Amino acid sequence: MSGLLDRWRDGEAQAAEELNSRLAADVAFARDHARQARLDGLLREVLRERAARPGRRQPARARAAWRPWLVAAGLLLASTLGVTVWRDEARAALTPWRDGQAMPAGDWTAERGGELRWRDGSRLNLAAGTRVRWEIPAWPWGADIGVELLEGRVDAEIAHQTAGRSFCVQAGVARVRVLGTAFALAQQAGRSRLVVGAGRVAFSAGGSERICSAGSWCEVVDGALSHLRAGTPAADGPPSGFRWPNTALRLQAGRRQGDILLGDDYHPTSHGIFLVRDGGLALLSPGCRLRLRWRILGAEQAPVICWFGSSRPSSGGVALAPGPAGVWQESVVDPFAVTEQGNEAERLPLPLDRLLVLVISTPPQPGVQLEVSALELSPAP
Amino acid sequence: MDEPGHEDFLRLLTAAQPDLRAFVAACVREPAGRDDVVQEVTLVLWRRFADYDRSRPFGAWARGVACLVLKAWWRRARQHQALEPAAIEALTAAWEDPDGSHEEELEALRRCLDEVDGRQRRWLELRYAEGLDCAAVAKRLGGSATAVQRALHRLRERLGDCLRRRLAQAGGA
Repeated sequence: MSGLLDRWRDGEAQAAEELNSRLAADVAFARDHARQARLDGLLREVLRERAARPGRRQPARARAAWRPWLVAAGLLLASTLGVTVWRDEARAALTPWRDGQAMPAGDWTAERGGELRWRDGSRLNLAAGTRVRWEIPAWPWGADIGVELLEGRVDAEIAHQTAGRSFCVQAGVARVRVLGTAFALAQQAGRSRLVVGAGRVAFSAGGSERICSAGSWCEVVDGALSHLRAGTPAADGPPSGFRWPNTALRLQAGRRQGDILLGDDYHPTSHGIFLVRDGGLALLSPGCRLRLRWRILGAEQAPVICWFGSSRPSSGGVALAPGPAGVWQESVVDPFAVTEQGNEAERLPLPLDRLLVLVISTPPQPGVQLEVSALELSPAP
Repeated sequence: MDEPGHEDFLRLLTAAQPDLRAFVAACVREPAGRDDVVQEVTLVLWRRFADYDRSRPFGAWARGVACLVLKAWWRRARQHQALEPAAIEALTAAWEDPDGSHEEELEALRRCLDEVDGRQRRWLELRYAEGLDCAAVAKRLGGSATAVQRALHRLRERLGDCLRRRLAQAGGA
């Protein structure tokens, strides 16, 4: 069967014919093909994730094989062009810029907040009063880009890094190595907290490392790394004002738009269902809000529930405030305030990261209808 | 607020969705067609959830429903995009449930991919991340489309072995 799956995927007519006949006639072939096709799906997911991830690194073995070549090429280049020019170029890549000016190494306090940019497009937004420090090493080649966060809060958007280099932010004993695209890091009174808005980030302290994915957060308190699930903690939540580079998700009742299918269907226990196509495209991040306009026809005060299912196997819902029959209601729901169902003891926040299924429903009663005229998932303001 | 129907449905669907998508992708060639089918399957699963026998795996039930939807979809003049009904049935019967959770599979595969050398990794990236067909991969990296197809097949076999080994190790640990 060598290559048959790929030939079929590429649209080869003869391959379709061959695949159809062999699948129908040969059980062993069908089993083998099923395994390849399952792996096909996993590979697509993993490799697209890697391609979309800035700061991805070559595996250690591959880097090691290139290092001698790079050193040799580097020496040759240095002798040809002049080591000074070359070094300045490498240092410039590590140097942050502010308002078009290169910033000298050392400490800097953003009294009123500010933005640092790097030549590769990476940027850090500093909250007012945030203190950072950076140094440019004497040997800049292969060094990581980054800063040390002494106090305050930074929101980061990190550009794709070349192989062998990462963007790092040190906060106390905690170190963030960027594997993803957007995160926020706060450092205050011996506590470092990381909230990931998109992609994945490696967070390390005291010899241990955790990978935090979108929608989750980690923190270090007195040098101990704990991994906390998605959501805003009841008390002492992340500082307000986080911004995330999300794309708004909009749905329009009764017709398709973008990646969304809005189904209008009946179910034995309720009616009304709204599904996100290609689960995983809608990223949920702290601060986002679901806004919807709805009304009940044929009954007064009928309960309406908004259910969320994330790309992780969990779900939960919130009841919308009931309204009089026939009157349009506007509701705003914070997905991160939804607690996980089936976990009555702890009522944990849903581990939301990517919205997969959204259901707006009401229990069925004769003559009762639920209408939703607008639905919008917007990022944090 | 607690409606067992919703809760169970969403929990089971979200756990089974990645594998269901892979199954549909094995039957439908065009990505847009796959999305249509997955959406239709999900709606049918929702409608028929009351019929689901809780003693059986949800994934197998979902693939059975998907098989019916796919066959109906094929009959609606989309033959060139999808496998024929007999092939879809054979694939439904041959499809096995995953060895681990989706997250465990992804993590194991990431580790397996780290063992793939640079040139082979590039084939995979062009094919899966950039979505190139095999002729375009061959043009970019040299060689023939047939050679790329064979190489990808061998790579998937190797990665499949690695994945099973790692999941078995994780399961036995």
